[in-house]
Amino acid sequence: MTRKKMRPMMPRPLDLARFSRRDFLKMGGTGLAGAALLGTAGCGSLFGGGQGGGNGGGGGGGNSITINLGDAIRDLNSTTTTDSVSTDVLLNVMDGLYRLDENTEAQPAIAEGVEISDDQLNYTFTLRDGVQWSDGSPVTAQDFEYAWLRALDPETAGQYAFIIGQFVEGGTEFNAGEGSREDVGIRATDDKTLEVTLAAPAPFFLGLTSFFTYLPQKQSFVEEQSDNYAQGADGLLYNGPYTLTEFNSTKGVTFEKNDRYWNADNVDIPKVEAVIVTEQDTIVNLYEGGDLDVAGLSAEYVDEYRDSPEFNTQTFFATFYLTWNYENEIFQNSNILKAIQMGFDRQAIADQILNNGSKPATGYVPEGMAANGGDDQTFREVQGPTVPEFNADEARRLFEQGVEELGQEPGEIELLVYEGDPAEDVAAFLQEQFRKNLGLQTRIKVQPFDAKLQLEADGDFEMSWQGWIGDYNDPMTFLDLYLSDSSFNTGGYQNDQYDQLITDAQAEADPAARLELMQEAERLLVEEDAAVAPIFFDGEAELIRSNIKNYVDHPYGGGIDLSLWRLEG
Amino acid sequence: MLRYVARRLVIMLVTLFVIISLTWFMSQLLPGTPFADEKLSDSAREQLYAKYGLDDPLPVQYFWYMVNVLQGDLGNSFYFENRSVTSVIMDGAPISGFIGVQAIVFGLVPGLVLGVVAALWHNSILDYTATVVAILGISVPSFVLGPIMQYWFGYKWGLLPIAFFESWAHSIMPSACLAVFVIAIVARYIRAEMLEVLGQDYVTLAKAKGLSRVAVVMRHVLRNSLIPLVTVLLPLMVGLVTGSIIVENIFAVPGIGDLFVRCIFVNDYAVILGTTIFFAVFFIVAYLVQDVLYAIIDPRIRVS
Repeated sequence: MTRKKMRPMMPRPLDLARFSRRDFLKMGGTGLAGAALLGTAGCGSLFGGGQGGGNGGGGGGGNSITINLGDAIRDLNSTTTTDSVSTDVLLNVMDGLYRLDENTEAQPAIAEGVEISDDQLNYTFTLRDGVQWSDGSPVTAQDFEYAWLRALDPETAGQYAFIIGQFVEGGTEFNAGEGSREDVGIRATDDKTLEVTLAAPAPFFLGLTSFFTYLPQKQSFVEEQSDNYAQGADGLLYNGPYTLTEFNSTKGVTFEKNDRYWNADNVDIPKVEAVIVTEQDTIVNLYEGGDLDVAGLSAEYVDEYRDSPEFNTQTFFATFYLTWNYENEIFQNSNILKAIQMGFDRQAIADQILNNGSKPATGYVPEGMAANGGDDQTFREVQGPTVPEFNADEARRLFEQGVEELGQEPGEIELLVYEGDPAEDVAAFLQEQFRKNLGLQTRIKVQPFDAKLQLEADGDFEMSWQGWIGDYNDPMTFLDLYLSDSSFNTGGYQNDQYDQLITDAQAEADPAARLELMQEAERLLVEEDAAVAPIFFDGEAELIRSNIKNYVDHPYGGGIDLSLWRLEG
Repeated sequence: MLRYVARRLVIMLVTLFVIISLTWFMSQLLPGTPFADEKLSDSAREQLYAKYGLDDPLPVQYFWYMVNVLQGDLGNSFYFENRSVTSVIMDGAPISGFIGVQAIVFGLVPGLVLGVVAALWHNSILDYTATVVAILGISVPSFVLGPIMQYWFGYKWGLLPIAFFESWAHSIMPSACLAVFVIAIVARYIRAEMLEVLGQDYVTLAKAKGLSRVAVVMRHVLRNSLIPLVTVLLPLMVGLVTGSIIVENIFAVPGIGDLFVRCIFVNDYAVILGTTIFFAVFFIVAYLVQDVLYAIIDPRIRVS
């Protein structure tokens, strides 16, 4: 998900220590005195009404709230979309077979239930009675079959086709243009029944059906709209908690409660304005002025608001980590790798640099992720830490031992990082830590996000900063990245034993045995081979108006779910 | 006169062709691809390239792009999947245009007053004050001024909306933020121009004829200083376009400046090219209008 791609920031003045941004704004005001022009609008066509604070619920007025999407809405076509902003919108106006509840567990939604075969390969979903699209027509099993196959169709060129393809039988082949549509294990046997055949057991599959690529689309409507599909509020059919009454990709959307929604009785907030603001100062000013009810905070604002009752933090299923290129013989020495893993202070990074609820990484698989499908325990609870404690002395000893084994000084290592904060800040901190604790000199190379990905794909890097957000609630969404034939394994880690463990786990139908295999794989990857140096589990700090209760922002896949929020007063 | 305009039109088209070609080839040199998503497998990338025709050899891509541009088709955006570049640009351009023109309207009169005062009381405390104001206007960046204005006019005193673009009131602060720059440029320009005119022989003559100071300034000096103001309007527009990028970001205005930056960061070649062509046409037409105006004002230009 592109959520983990930090937006490059405009150049900004340096923050002075102990002098908050807010103070600065107040100071600036002393030099400002001016007469404000008062007037009324004279040219209505330019100023589209609809979005915008104005009647925001600041201070509990009215029964609508205003939230910030944070970036442009790129694409509301569920079969092609990729970015977290669009999916934040989509999942509030659409409903899949299953939907995540407030504990991020999959609950029946458009489907009333499912039958799973003993070998865990065949899922038979039965649709709920009376579920409707916003035009009053029924939502059918064919709508799911059509949308899923459309997502897989090579003609569609959907970037998220793999999220269906890699799990459903025949999906990858059809998507690659090698197999046929008929061989894909997705079949609507009647209006109410959808049969899905998986390529291998996947205990997290029900959660996956809440993912945006798995949303239904009504074929006749899509074809009738053709190029206008998803190009405006009227270019979509809705079957979720809300409908859109306004949709402008750079201004925002207006959500209105969908009375036809099967679960409308449990949707509390009748109207939500979603605006698009990228500038942090503006976001805080709007929140303070009552024009925004939820405001994300960057690190420099956290100290100011930390003690506010409206201040919240949460973590996502996202890990940031260092990875390296095995072509370079320095990284073929396991003592040096272990020294790098152990040689920097993760706690300081989380507390002092990020300051936004992010946590020091204790493993590769992030905190909160289920151990196995809908298990009560998380993978991290079962597994315990696999990342060694920070220990400068031991790290230096290992490093020096590694250098001795190498028989040469490692020289200066290049650390590749993409533009923007906090990535650049953390990289600078790491540079200092490696110098001080290990005696390892690094050179930071900052590149635009796309250029960095290109360099990695070309293998043209030494050490690199990477982040990954899980696509589904299972450790596998992280662990399969290090398969030797994975296109995301840019550093060229290769361990046949690791490949075997992952392949076995992917085919294993018994949950306990599967978990065991994944645990062993993570230990091998992080503890024994030290193939990755996890840094932190990503978090977010935000201000949430106190009259909003039950605020839910899912740590993966969906993002915010307005239908679960409650508004008081 | 007609022949002059016709000749200029031909030059204009050639210039456009060169600009579009150069931008097209330069955008090919941008690092990365429009589809740099960490979750994109190689086969999925191939499908996307085929969909957008990016798997053709470069000369073929270039040829088709030019053919399409001639037909007014700027292609599809990569970033806004499933949207045409034209629609993306036309969403933002009127908004940016309105804010920019309004900034000129806001800034012209204060700028004139400052410039005139500075020139008439040359080297006095008034002159220095005006100069300081002008220099501040140029040098205080929008990303400092914008949030300060928001905090006081919007949040503290509640006079104006903090951000967004819903009504005329919403457009005041972004325009005012840009207008500071307009004031500074106009003031400096008028001051220099007036000082030059004040030294001319005909002004001395007018004074010698016993005309009042006010009459001399209004009738002779100011009028002759204003004519070349046409020249300052163009660099001003260029400045406003670049300024709008930051201002639109701060005030959450969905204009074209914000879009342009966004698309550069995500390698949306299609929108980068489209926006460049849009701006190029805009400026070239503006230059043409300016030159024609001059040609009307000053016959000597046509001859050269």
